[in-house]
Amino acid sequence: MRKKFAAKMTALAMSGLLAVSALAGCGNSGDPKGTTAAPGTQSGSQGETKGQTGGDEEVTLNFYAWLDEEGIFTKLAEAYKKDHPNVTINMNFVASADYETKLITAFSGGADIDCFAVASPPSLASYVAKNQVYELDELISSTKTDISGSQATIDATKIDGKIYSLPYKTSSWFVVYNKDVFDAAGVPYPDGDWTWEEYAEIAGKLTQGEGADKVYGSLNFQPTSMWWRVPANTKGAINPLEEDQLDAWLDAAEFCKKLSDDGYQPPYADRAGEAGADYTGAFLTGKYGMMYNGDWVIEMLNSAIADGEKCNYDIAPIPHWEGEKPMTVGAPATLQVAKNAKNPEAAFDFISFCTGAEGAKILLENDYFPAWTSDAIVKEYCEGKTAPEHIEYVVNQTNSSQVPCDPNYNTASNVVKEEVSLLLLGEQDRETTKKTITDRLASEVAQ
Amino acid sequence: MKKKQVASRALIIFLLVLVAFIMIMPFIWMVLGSVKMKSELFAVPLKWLPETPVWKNYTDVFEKVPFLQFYWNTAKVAVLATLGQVVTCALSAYAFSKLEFRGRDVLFMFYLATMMIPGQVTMVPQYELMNHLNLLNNHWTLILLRWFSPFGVFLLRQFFISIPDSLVEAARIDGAREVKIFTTVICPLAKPAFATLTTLTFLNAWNEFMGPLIFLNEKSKFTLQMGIRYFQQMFGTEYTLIMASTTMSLIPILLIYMLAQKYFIEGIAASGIKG
Amino acid sequence: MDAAVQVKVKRRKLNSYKKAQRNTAILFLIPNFLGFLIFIVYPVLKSLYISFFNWDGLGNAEFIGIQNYVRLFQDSTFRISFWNNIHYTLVTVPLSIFLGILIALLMNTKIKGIQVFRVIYFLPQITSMVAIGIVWTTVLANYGPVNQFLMTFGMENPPQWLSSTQWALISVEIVSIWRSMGYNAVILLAGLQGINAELYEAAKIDGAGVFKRFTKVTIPMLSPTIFLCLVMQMIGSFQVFDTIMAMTQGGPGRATNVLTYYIYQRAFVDWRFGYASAVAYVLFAIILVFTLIQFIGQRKWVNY
Repeated sequence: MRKKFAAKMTALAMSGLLAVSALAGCGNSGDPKGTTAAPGTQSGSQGETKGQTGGDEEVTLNFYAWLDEEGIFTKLAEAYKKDHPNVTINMNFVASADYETKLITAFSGGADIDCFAVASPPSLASYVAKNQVYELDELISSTKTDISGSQATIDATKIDGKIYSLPYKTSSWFVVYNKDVFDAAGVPYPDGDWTWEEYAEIAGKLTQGEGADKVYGSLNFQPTSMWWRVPANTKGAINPLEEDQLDAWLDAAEFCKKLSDDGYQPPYADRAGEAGADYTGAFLTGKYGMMYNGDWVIEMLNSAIADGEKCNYDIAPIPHWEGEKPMTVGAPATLQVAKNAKNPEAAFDFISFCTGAEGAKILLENDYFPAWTSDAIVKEYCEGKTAPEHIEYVVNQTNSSQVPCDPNYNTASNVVKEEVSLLLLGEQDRETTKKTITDRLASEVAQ
Repeated sequence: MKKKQVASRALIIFLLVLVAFIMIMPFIWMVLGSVKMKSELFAVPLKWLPETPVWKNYTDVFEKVPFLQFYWNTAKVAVLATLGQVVTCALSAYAFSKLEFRGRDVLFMFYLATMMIPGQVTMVPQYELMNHLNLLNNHWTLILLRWFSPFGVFLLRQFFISIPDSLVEAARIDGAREVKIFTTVICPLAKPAFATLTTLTFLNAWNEFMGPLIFLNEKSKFTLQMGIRYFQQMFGTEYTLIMASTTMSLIPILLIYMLAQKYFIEGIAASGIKG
Repeated sequence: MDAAVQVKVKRRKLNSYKKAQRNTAILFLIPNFLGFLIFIVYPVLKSLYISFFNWDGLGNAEFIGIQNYVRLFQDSTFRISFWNNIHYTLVTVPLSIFLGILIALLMNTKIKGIQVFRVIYFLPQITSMVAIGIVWTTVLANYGPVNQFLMTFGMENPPQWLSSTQWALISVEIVSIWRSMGYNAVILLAGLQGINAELYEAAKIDGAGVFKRFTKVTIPMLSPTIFLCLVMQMIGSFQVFDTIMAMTQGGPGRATNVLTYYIYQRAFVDWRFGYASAVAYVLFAIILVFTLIQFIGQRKWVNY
């Protein structure tokens, strides 16, 4: 009993709230396994030096993220440990395709999890709905943590008005185009304001040749992602559980299908069966004029070019629909403290470091576009890249959330993905697709 | 007669080659793909050979992933899992095939029944159990889960059954104890079965994916299959690196199999099972 | 000694003999059985228990009796997965065993260099399904080597193997057979090697030809091993997962969705662990029925 109390007090002290030197030496509770007792623990006495967790009590944090992020979080953790030598961070990285499986199993099986990353707001919403996420408002105000740099994203990921997560990076969509293909067709490069109709028209002009030598104006990609919905996203339709938004999604699917039917884009079937997952590989063949894609593709193309591939590319803003305002979409990736974290204060301190100004600097150095932005960061991001020429489009488009904070989104989008794939293959018409989707959503989405 | 023999021999060789071609074609594609540029792999029209072999794909794998460590981890798990499984399952299989006791067949059916529950739903309870036993992030989890495999029991029981009961009875009449019958009568006769179970268990353990994914946390403990997964990332799959790493994961096991099949199958054929 | 006493003694002897056998059996069983109880049986029973709950995997469990079981029969995806799975089983199991026997026979011939073939035939089994499945998707791509091959032989519109509902399931089945026939062949080869050569000699002396020796000696002697393959393949075919995960993820549409993939999605996408467990137990019942049929049927053809 006393130990538990001590644990609580120590934890509070560590967050710089209380300086309770009387408790010094009492607890080793920061360590989830309770094995290592820090000699001469003076919790709280250093609380003021950093204004954050400053205690030298041994703390172990179990952190989960997916493999793509291994490099960046390893660096963030190293930087964090420089100022917090008492903190050990156990990094758990899982391949992205298996990440949720592992995380859910770990939560269900009662593993020690202190903080974790998720790739998009619907996953965040799922974990919040399942009561696995620590609510942060109180900690933010009590530690006076500065969140101004990513305020907009934080507001967009609030659930029931409460903050459950801090974003560390955002993404944004734009059009990548192959300059050589434009030159060969004598078409001027896209630059600035354009519509999806114009995109289709230009795709038509770029399309040349027949058979094996055919050059397509537009490239589509793998059926496991839902790239085809992006045109709908650009007019704010992000949740297929809303009927009008579902209609917009189906419009977008038909837009993509028409590009293929007109011969401006490979048939959907050609990209099916996982072969389409290697869109950079396809783009690098030089047989595609344009593709819409996100900021991650820049790093992929640049490193392929560094490895000897040839590709003369640039980027343009994402198109918009006639009569709509230009707007791109993106999804923030966020960090959370687990509800059952042994030491939520310490976990919070770590994630606020990663998502704050200091973390942003490290993210930037590693080619990430941090969620924490400022004019200086935007400038540095753009100046840090040799290609593409118009890198500024990554950051200066109006950006809106691509996915809703809806715990049922993942289930719903799976249903939509399955049915729309039949539409795109030409095996199912729009009427049937919509009806099947509506029926399935009614029966398969948990009420 | 002679002509007929030649013809049937020719037919057999033709079939052997045909089947071999079907079996090996994807592997040739994979090995060639592992030295291609990204843009060559899905080139239309298709290219079988890369313009210049990109050996860099292999060094890239080692750069991005501690592949040697993964080899070692996988080998350790596979060897220990196989040894334990063969021993415990052989003992059980002997009881199920050559000893009489009440409820034998019911118990055996129970073993079989547990194989019919898909792993997707036992995964969470298993994880919970391992958490309680403090075995998470530990290779022993993977090893222990294989030791008690109902499959091993089933496989060996089927083989033991085909060994004539009369041999066992004869030994019993001679006054041999069951342990001795097991080690001196059954085990030598069941060499092909042991060879089979060893090979299959080793392969399954080597190639296992879900278990390591769920139970292991630290990179230093990961196995090969998780290493291959490194190249299937959120924003795209690196097929050339997947092919390179898969090829590398295959080489040691291929060598082992080549040695093993010579030792096992031929050894069995030579020593014969006539006894 | 009178007759009654004799019978008594005999019975006592028999009883003590039985007892001794039982005790030995326990000793032989115990190492495996203890671990089996803890690591296999406990999780299996726990999932049965879960199947009666509405459980999201994270604490909030609500007992709902057999509602999960009732609900699944109203789910169109369950029905589709079920029929896909039956199709998959009926195609892959007989073919992979039939071809496995043929390959085992080929491997059992005494031809120079047979070792090379033995290694090649086993190659598909050596590789992990996850990895080789990815390779197969590139092999079966619309402009991949298979279609290239078909086109050089004059086929103008080769099948869209993985991207049409018509072919996707068949493609997955082909890959499964490709992989499992080698596996069966290895098990069956061990069985073949175990057949006493004297039996063949005897049959030869009796004037049996090649075919007759095959049906009268090989098949009966091999039948316990064939039975093993049959049961294992069938259980495996109802639990096919890696192939689907690596190659199609159930698509296009729901054309290759099978029961375990359905279970996986319900558990790890929808977080409906109770429901997923209920589906697993329905799957269990299906497999059990098929297995029992085989166990009853085996008396007719398996030679012990």
